[in-house]
Amino acid sequence: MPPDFNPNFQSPHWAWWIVLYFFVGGLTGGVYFAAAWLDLFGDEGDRPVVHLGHLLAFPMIIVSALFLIVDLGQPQRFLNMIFQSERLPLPILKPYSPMSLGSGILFIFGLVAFLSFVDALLHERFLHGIGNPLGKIASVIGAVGGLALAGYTGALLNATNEPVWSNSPWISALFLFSGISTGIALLLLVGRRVPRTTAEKLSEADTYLVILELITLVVFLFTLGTLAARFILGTPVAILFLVVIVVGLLALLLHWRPRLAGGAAMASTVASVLVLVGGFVLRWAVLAAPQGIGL
Amino acid sequence: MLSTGTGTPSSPVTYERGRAVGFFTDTTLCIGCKACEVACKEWNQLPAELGTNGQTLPMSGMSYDNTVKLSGTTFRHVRFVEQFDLNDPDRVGGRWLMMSDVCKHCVQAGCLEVCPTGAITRTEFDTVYIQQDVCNGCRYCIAGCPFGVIEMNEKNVAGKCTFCYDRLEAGLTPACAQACPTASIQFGPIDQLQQHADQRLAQLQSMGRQQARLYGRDEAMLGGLNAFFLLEDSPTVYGLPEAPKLPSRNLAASGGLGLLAAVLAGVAGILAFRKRRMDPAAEANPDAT
Repeated sequence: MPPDFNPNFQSPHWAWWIVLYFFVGGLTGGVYFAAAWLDLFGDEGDRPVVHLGHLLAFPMIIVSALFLIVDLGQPQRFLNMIFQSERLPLPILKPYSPMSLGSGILFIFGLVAFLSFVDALLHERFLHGIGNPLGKIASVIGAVGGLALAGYTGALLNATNEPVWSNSPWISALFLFSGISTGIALLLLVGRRVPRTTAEKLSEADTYLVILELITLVVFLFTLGTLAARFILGTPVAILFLVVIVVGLLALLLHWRPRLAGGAAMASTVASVLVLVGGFVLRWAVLAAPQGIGL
Repeated sequence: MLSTGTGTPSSPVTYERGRAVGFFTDTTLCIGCKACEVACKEWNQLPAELGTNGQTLPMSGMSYDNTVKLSGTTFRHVRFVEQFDLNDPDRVGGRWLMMSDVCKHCVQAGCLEVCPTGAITRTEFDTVYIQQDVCNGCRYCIAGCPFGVIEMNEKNVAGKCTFCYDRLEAGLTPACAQACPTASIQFGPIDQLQQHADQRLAQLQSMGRQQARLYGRDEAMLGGLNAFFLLEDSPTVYGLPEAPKLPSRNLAASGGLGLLAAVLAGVAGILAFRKRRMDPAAEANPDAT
């Protein structure tokens, strides 16, 4: 065991609400990131997906924040994470606490997602219309916020003293790749009638991200060393990690050989579902490693 | 002046605001009476630990110790380390090690570092205190503590040793040190405790007890523990980490790899999304899938 291993570690009991928060949070970051990146680097044909991403991201961030709030021991005090409780409205921000940083990320990302959402409802009249530089600025901020939202939860777990979580710095990268890939998968799944070229772009991006995610997952497991044997390989949690790897490989196979699913449309749908399942199970697996599969 | 709990109950002791105080727990003197646990529960009005049915006191079934660990409502816990050879029916070579465990009130405290609300503060006595009316129960401090000290309490907020802050303000010795009948728990200004601990260690080693060692006395361990220990075996035997670390030790690596992943995700997106701009055939055929 590493010298900082605490034989009497206490579980924070971050269970299903947090699994859901991590999953939906990453998903939301991925949805906005993909929409923003298409806004910045795509073309006119991609506008329906940009519009769809803007419509989805804000309701999703509200839902994910609700998961987080419900999990608090004192949910009515959730604002204490954003404002100094005795010096309202002064904000509280502790740069060495990823949860504090994450609250700030949620707040800023939520604001940008809200503006894009309202703009999408108004048919891109004031922000994301063609040639409007404000929309591009919002996309850049939102994309960075989306990436941060997807990855900070991994840094949060790493900045603890729980076994597994604190023993590999790769969780942030793992969650980031996973969050972005699930966001793209959701856009592919929901936006069934998007232009074919946009769907191909999204599929290609998802292929890259799933490959990166699987590589990072293997590196993560290797860097755990002896802890992997004690907390993962010898426990039911190993099954969850196996599921993540298998569904990831199947999704890649379907992107590569769409005929296996009877055509490009069906392959895209099945692959997207697999990526979403993998994203959820990944968060469950990582959270379960020191806490137990039942959390 | 050190308060060893052997004086008149509740008698004032000498220490100053703004000067660090601490506990020195000499485990060689602990007899496992759990008077410290009881005194802590009494003074802080902490409920008893109940079993899963919420009504009866649980029995650990593996030890004479039934409180088993520190929790949100057990701020002192006397750990029983029972070193006996099961193949030796006479139990000749066995020994008991007992340690009254408590929050270490680290100079560099992991819980204080990660707390997102500012509920965990450092007091004028250099102790670490959780403000119950600010904590929102996020439980990050539980994961951040290197010693597994903190848990949720019955009010659904984080609970741990307060170092009897109310007693300190009134010039009193913390309840556990006051109640300890063997002076295993000693309270006083931290510099005096350190001197005393050094003398006690030298004394034990001169008696041939070479396994004796101080745990958390020096700044090398989280800047120094304001509740430090004299042990007679390796820390892991007592359920303590060999080299506890702050949660923030991982931030640079984790943040750096996250940043690298963000760049890679961005590049992947650009590669995928820009590609067909240069493909007029694809642009001319924007069929729905």
